[in-house]
Amino acid sequence: MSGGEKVYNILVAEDEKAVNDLITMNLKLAGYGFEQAYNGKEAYEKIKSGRFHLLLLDVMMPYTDGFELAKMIRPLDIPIIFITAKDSLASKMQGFELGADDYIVKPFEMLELQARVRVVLRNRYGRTERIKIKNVRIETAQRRVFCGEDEVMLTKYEFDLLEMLALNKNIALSREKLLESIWGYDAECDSRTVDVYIQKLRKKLGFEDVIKTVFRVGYRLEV
Amino acid sequence: MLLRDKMIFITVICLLIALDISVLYFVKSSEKFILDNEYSAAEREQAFIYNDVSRMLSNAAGNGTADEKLVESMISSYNMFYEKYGTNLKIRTYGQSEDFSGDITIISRLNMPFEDKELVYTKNLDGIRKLRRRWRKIFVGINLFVVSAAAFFAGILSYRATKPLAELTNKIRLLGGGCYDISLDVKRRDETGIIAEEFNKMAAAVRDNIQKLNEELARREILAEEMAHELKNPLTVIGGFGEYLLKGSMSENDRIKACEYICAESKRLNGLCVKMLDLSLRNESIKKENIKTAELFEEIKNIVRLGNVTLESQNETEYIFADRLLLLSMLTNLIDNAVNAGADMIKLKISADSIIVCDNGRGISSDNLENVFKPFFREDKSRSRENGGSGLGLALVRKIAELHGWNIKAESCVGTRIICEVK
Repeated sequence: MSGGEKVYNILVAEDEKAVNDLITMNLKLAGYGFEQAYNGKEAYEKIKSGRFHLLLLDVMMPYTDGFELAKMIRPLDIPIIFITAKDSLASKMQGFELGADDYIVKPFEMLELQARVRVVLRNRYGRTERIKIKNVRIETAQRRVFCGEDEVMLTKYEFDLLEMLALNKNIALSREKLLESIWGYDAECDSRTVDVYIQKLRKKLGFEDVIKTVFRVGYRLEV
Repeated sequence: MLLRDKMIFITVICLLIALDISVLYFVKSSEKFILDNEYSAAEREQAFIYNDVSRMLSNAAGNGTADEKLVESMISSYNMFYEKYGTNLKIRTYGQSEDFSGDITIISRLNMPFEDKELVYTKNLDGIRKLRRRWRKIFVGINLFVVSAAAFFAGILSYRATKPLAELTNKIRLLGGGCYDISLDVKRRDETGIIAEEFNKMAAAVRDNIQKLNEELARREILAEEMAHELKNPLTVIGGFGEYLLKGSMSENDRIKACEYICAESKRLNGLCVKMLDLSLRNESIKKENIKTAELFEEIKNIVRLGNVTLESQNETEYIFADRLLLLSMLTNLIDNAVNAGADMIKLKISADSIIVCDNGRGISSDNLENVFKPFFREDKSRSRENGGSGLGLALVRKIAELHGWNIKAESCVGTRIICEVK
């Protein structure tokens, strides 16, 4: 929790143990703290006694379902993301009326889960202003990067690439994904561009071992 | 041509034919009678005139005044008298041929001294001609009247006779259009009444069948929906952990855990598929045979993984008549179900009229005794999943019982007792 970098604590309430583990193992990759609950009752007890920044609630749970649980804990004002197998508008609307911040429909993708969690946390608790990776400090608001005490000068694309990798740490991002989100769809460059920029970043920050090439997938920033 | 029009047409035609035949017969016979009368009257008249003329001529011959002039004047005086009756008299020389314009002509020879002369008597029957014309007019009038009256009454009658048919047609149209909640008023006791009664029976049968179909359809839709829902979790887990392994950097422990989950969920999906296929079995595909119950017990013990659960089996009948594979599937499912319910003692009893599986597991609450046979129903959702239950086991058991025509029910005792009546 040093200087702007927070560790968020997230409760995952999902009755299916496999899905619950899938979500928490993904949260673990991103460095979040988490607890697991396997039914509505258990989740309610944990929410009351613990301190959580975000709740991921399955809609269909034994004893107390997700919507019911959301009603019960409304006064605590904790952001909620519902997880459900039902992809119907009615069910989504019901979730939002109960104060849900977002909605994830099974089956979901890893990056989607990460992105939604990150967006809900940022909306509620503000932008992560400082990300620390080894001896490198990224000031996201000022768009400045320090290696130890020395500032490292990065171009716009280099910074965006670093931020994207750091936000999705421990998860491999494909070259296409990086191209799309940093250079945009209609950029006149190919996946080779990404490789070139990754080389530059590694060199500038001494990240040869941190930014790993994942065979046939893409790049991953490992911590 | 509508039945109604046919009825009117046939009635009118029949009536006209009958009427015309009788009227024509009557007219012809009356005419004959009148003509006969006229002929005899004419004969009498001629005879009278002839006698009169003959007598006068013989008198005149006695006086010697008999000449042609006398004859002429006699005839003309007769003519004057009889003219208004349509009678005409003429004297001609014998053998002379001449056309006579009369309806009745009688020729007779005069006596001496005029034996070479003949008296020609002709009579016109104008009265009869007039009568005929009148009759013709009356005949046409009667025909017109009868046709219109008959058409009118036949129209009313046929309308009344075909009214129920028209109603029936309307109802049939409604039925065809998908409105099944209809019936006809049955008041008559004739054929239309019978048709209405039969129609009502048919409409009721159609309604019942459609309702059954709709219920079955709704059941299938729910099943499909639950099925899709049921597939989402394993798919989420398999896809999710696959991506996790592909993209994430994790500890060896987490990597193994992810792989284990992928394997376990694939197995679960496979089990689900097998059971879904069995659930869609049809009546035609079952082959019943006499199965030795002792052999059956042996096979079950080989298939079921009991662990430290005791299975006590008891057979009160030597043979059971059923489909071997399906019966095996049913019994192993029941035993698996008991094991999943946490039983450590399972009793299986097969007698001539029932199969009973009894366990001392958690049991079922009395509200859910009916529900346990529904697909994807779980008394305790999270726990039965941990045990690898698909939620289709008991649904399959009921399906197999239904295929055999058996009745199945669940009872709650210490644990659960499933009774299948084999009859």
